[in-house]
Amino acid sequence: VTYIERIEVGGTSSAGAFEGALDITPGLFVVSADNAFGKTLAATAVVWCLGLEPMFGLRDDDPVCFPLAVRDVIDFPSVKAAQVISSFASVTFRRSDGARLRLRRDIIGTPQEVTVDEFEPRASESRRSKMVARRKTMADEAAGLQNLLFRWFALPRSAIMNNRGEEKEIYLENLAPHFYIDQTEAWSTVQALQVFRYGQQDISAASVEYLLGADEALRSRLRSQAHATRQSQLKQRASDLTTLILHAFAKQGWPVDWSAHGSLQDIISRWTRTSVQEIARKKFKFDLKKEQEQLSKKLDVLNKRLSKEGLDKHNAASSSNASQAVIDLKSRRHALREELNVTRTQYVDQRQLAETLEHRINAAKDVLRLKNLGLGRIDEVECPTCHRHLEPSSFGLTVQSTSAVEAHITALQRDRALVLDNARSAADQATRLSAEIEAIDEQLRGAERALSVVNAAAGNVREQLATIATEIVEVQRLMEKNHAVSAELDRLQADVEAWVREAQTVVADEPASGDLSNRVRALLDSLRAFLAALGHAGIDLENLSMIRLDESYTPYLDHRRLRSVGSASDHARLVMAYALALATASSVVNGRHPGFVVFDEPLQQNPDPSHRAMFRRFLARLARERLPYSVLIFTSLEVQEVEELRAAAVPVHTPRAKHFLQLVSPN
Amino acid sequence: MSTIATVITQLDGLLVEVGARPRLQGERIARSTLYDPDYHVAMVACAFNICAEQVGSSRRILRGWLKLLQFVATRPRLAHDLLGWASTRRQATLETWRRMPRGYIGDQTHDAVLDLLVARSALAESGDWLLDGSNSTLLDGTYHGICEAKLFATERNVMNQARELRVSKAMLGGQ
Repeated sequence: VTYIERIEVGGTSSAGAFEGALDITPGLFVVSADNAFGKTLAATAVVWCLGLEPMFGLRDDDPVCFPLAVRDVIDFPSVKAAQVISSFASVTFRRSDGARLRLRRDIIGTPQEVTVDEFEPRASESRRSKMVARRKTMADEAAGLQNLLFRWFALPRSAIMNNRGEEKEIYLENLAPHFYIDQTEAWSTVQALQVFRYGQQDISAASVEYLLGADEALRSRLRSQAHATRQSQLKQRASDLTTLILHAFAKQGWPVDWSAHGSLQDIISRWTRTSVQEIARKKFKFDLKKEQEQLSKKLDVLNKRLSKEGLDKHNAASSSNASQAVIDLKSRRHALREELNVTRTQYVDQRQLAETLEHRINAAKDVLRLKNLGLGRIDEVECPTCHRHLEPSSFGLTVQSTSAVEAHITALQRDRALVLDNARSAADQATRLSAEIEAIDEQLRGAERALSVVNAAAGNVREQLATIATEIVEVQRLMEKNHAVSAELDRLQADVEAWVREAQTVVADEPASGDLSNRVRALLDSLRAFLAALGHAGIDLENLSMIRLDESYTPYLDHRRLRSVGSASDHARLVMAYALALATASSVVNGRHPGFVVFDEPLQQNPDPSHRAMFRRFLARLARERLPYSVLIFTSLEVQEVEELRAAAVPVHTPRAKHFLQLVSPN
Repeated sequence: MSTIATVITQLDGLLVEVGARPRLQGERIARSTLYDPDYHVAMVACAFNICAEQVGSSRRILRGWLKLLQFVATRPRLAHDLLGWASTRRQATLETWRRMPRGYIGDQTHDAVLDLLVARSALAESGDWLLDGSNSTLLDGTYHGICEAKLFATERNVMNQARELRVSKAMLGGQ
């Protein structure tokens, strides 16, 4: 058993040196002192020396969790408002083998450093080292404080995935909310002080698994998280690839049904059923070989005309033909643009209509539920004047039956399918038109170049030669374009195949979950026992067996979160029961609990006499049970209560001084 | 041949002339829930509970405002237009003027439902105002039931947006 052996706080002030110390025995240990004694100061010293201030939401090395008495001004019986010049906290831990670890950290001074004294078993000499409290506290093998603490407490390092898909570690401040219950915040709910801002995934559940020693479950959790991250990355890549494919097809005016929806398995199944080249060939009749053959033939004819065939000296139509080609293309482009505008308007209208139909369907479904629930139904009305029985039909109203509403929903759904189909057709048509306009633009540029060349040529023969030459250039351009399209499709298909291969390995590598049942059973059994012993108002013998833990180890009573059962004062009982249950279960299943639990002011939430009596009975029971871990409680008890507890063999320490911190006599 | 059948035949002829292929589906004749009194009662209950103003121990709402509210709530695409028009109506332009939904005036189902609710004493009339009737728990119970069952979320959302509007008779007249 590891336990806290000694807590010290001290420093220097304008009135002289001051100090306070608390020696603690293993097992259950209760410190009872009046309010303002400095109990919370002593409790805070523990977390401060362990470098756990992020638990309070503080920045690294910020000592604001301590009271002003060790940070600014301190009152002594003889001197009021003495200025604090320097201050420190020190905690000594003792392991069951006799080894001791003393941690000393400045509060005012250099809080970035922790002086560590390691005492081997039965050795009086220590090995002293300076550690860095927060910066690279885990990563720094030589000077990181948490690195040393995990080693000294024999706690293994455990990896966990963060929200960015990077591998991180479980830190001591992620475990401490289970064994350090702070006075101010921690009594409201289990793990109230958990640190979520590091972004570790499922850290609440992982911290419980760690303390229960469920190493296989943690490894499995990491594998699952890595797997989920990998899946999400692959989905993103599939989505990016889909965008590229749709864009490549849209450039040619080919509306294609290609998506990255569904699970990886769904995408793999769809993407292996066909290929992008096959779609281009079957749906859009793009056959590179055939196209190139046709263009080659055309090129041969043009080359022959250019090199061998005679030209008509009297044919003066070249220039007007070239000019007409430009005019035709411009007219065609104008018509296509008009058509595209109409199609886009139709698309927007259809989408709006689909949206309206969606609302109508939802409203009609709600009307159906309204009728089935019988809400707002007005069947009988009596005329206020003649007291005659009136029906809704008397007011010209016809109440629709549920079957009529169902028929209406079916009709609306049919309309919606039709409208969505129209919208899809409009979108496809817009894609085709856009690509056609782009192609016409390109042809137009060629035709304008041809016109300019023909116009520059002098004489009919030269004009005809210029026309043939520009036609040859156009055919060559088309051949190059076809090659480029084909190469792009090949490249995209290669990307698709690479993606599929990678996705298949990820799908095949589905991680199995680690076996946790025995450990969770131990936690649940202990939790039930402690809740009953602490007198949780929502728990009785009837429903004790209905307490369960969900997949994040949050306690439930049947289908209700246990936190919402009982009274507000039961929150504190739940927190205490959970912390003790985790320590007990860890000892039963050989887990990773450090072996001590600190409770600061457990009675503050339950000040009435009956609850105090119940709490005393609970402490007496803990003392009888000879705990396999240490429990340190800071509280304030009446004299009779202390006597009663001591009679029940509960070690209660009642300091003689009024305050924890005292001026040190110069002698 | 009935009048409707004649109209359909004429429409069919016109559509064929422009190259369309008309297809008649008898199932579509299911009456819309927009004419269902239960739906209207639900809308009145929501509108009265969300938008009625408290005067002493009673609540009241302008009859025309209630009519417009339920009309827009059941056609949420109009909500944006109504809010846009209401915010600019004092500097109305041709663009903003046309955004005021005026079709609500002819909503006869709503009028009939209000008559029914007044006869049932769920609401009481006082000039242009509708007040809590002696049996107003009918509407309150309906509204709470709707909230509990999470029904008509879109409609209630529109009403919640519209409750911030300052309503006047001039506004309801489209001025």
